[in-house]
Amino acid sequence: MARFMTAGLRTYPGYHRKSAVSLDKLGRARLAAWVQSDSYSNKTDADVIINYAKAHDITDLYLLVAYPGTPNLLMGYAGSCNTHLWGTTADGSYMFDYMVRNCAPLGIRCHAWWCMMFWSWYGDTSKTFMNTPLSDTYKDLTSYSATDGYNWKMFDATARTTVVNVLWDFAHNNRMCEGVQLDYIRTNGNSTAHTTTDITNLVGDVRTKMPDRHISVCSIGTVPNGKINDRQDVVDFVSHKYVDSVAFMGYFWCFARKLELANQFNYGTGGVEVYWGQSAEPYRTNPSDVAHNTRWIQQRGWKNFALFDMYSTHFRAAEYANYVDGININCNLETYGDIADITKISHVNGTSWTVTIGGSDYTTLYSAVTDHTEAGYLKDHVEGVEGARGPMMYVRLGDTTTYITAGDWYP
Amino acid sequence: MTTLFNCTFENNRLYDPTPHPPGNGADMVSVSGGTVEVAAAAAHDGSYGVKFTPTQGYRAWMMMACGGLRKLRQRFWIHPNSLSIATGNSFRICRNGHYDASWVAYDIGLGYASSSYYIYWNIYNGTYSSTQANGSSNINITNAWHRIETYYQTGSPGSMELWLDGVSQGSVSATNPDALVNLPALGVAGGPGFTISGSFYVDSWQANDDGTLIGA
Repeated sequence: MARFMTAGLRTYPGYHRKSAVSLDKLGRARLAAWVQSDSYSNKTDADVIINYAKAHDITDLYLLVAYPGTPNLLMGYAGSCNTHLWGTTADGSYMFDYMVRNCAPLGIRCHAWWCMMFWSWYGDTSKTFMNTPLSDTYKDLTSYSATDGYNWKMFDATARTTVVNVLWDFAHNNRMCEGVQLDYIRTNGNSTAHTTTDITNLVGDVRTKMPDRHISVCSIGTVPNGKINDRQDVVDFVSHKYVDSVAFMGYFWCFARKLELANQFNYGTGGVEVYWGQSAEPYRTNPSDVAHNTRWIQQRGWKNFALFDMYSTHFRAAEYANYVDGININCNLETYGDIADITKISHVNGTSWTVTIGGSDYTTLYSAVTDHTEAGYLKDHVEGVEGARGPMMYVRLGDTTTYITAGDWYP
Repeated sequence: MTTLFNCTFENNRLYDPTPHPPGNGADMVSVSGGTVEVAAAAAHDGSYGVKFTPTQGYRAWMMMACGGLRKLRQRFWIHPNSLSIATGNSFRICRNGHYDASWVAYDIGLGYASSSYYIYWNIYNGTYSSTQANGSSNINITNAWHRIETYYQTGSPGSMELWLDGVSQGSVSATNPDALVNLPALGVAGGPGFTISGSFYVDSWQANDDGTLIGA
């Protein structure tokens, strides 16, 4: 574990210091994972996450934040932001703090994962699920979506101050936390009230408020939709030195987006860590596809990966329906051969594909995931995996013996 | 002129997964229903082309990753072959294949009416839009190989001109300065909303980013 020595450790209390060196500069890879709040809402589940991260050389955890029962709650995924899921353990400790304190000695950086754009969430126009400090005055009426509710007025400096103070307050009370991850740092597709400058200013305000913390963002890149339509100019974030890392959401089930991003971005420069956001969803398609996709991205020079959707029940059915037809078919390189040898793809019965490689047909199937938490999924599917050391990090997914691989973690 | 891609499929493979410059196969093949396969029968040039067997309601298409393009000139050969389309129906065979289903930019359709196959094309408004700005009239084609070439441009106005077998069929326009093309797609680019059977062929799909004539 010597390679963790320079990253993620800090002195406390009272003083905060970002990791001194970006491992990216040393050519080493990082592996991050997003964790829902209900996956670390108790010590049993939290320990599974921590042990899994330790065993599989995860370097960063983005922990979804829901602040317990106060007006400081900004937002959370529907069903995950109720205070009981955030949870206070029997001994009175907060689970976010528990995660950070147990990960720090392992050199695993914990980030507070915030979802930024929502005034309301998933059609909840009355903010039933949220206790945001933002009043109705700051509701972006142009952004209304029947499925997503409203964004807030990120162009409003007073509103930004309120929100940024919430982030700061949380970080201040969790001083070992590496920093914040700003997810949905954009408008939705409906909003006409913002410019890219407004979003950039929000990121800048976070940076100004927390100059000593790691600021990371999730980005959909500068494809036209990301920059022009959703007002997110990630290049602007980087050029202003507002961010320390960017996770580009290449996804998995959206191969088209992956192609766009892979052809537009490679490594960050100027010390910015760049991650490929990879969905590890096992149930939408064959888990071996994740392995191949990872390798495909590595071929294009990406080294750092960030995994999400190890379970997928938080996705709305409508989203799933929209993206099912974007699923691409790849094949496990070890088992079947190379994607370059595919001559035929058929999808006939709605539940499986047949892929022809070298004259032989291979049928891929969905595998179902029923447990709703990363911890539960890991307990069911990861314990018992043979080995996780050496140059290849792999995770057994689903009921098969196929793996995702995160490539060479060592220079 | 920069050739963006030149898919000949002569290596008898659907994919060419190495990064651009151009290779023999597609960057991506996405099959939600039906079948996509390289086939000798689908060859217009050389030994292989691509055979599409659609099924009602699902896409099955090839895409090329090109980044944000303000100009796209592309050419492909198409043969309706045995495709059976109930008269009066059509489906998309070509469009900007953005991950968002509504980001169309342009499309080309293939249909059947009055005992003949036909094609048409459309250009779409603005950014992030599925609102058709202007479309062509239907242009009859025979059940044989045909060369389709298009030149799409963004602007105020932007435009898209189409040539069928080397002859211009006109141009349609729209105000679309931000409707960049990032994923040119070809095949069953829109799920047919009707019963469909049989297959059609595609071959020799080539594109550039400055509008230079590609031709045969």
